[in-house]
Amino acid sequence: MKGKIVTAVFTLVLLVGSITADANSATRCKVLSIEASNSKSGLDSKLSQYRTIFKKAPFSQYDSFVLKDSQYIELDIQAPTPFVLPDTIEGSLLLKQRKKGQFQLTLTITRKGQKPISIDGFATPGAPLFAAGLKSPNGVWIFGVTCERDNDIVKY
Amino acid sequence: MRKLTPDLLERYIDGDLKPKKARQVERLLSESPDHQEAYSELTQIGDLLRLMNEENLANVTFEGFKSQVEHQILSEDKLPPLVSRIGVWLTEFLDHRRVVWIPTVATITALTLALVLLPFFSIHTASETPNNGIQLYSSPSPLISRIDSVDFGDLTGTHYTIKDNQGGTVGVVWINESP
Repeated sequence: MKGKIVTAVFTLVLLVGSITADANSATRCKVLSIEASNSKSGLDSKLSQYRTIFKKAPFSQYDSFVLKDSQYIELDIQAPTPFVLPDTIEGSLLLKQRKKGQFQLTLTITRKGQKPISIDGFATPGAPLFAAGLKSPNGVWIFGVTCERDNDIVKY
Repeated sequence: MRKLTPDLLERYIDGDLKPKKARQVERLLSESPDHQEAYSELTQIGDLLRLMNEENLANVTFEGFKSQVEHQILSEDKLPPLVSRIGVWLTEFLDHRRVVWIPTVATITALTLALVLLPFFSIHTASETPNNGIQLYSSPSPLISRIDSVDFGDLTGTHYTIKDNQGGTVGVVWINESP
């Protein structure tokens, strides 16, 4: 009888622990650095999932989109996490909260020598936030941020 | 002692009298022929009874006694049916182990309810179904992103909401940076 009770308690501890671990799982975000230009090179195959979006305004003024950099960052709630973007631009991402499948974010972009640009918004997995328009060597930069929980499965 | 009673005589024959009393009985027997006759009758009756008992004992048989004893022992060793044993165990457990089973049942019930209700309150669950490269989530919320507010700093700009072909929306901030 004593052994059965110990087994039951151990099972409960594992169950509660797994639930707690799930609740505290980190949020993983992907930051894309895309250069839009009119170089007639078309859409980078790595960006094919955004084909529909890039055909619409304000992106439609460009005909070429090249993925220059892609990086993952781990976010804890209410902890701003800095990252480096191309072309002397710095970024920071703050996860304010996760609510009903949405991530409330603050994306900050700072060109060296300029005031930061701060963007508050929501993103869901599969629907990134885009910040675009900063000048790039060949056109403009498009920065995209999409997030998912660390234990979620994402296919690109 | 002047008179020899039948009871006293029987006790003498059976050897139940103390030596002093026995000597008195023997003296009375030697003094009276009637007492001697009574004594003789009683001893004859006693001898007959002993003979009868010995004959009865000689006729006693132990045939089948061993098998009867073995049968009884084996019948006592047989276990009651499983259902009956489980019933007894369960009754005793529920009666005497309430401190154990009541909290355990309550905890398991609460956890089961929590697990059943968890999907209704969870953020979302992932699906591996490919969708032209864009991940699909079995989320109650649509696939949207949106811009709430923008501080452009030294620059200017605007923000857009673009609809994709999946029925979702994407929030876009466009920054006007002079060359």
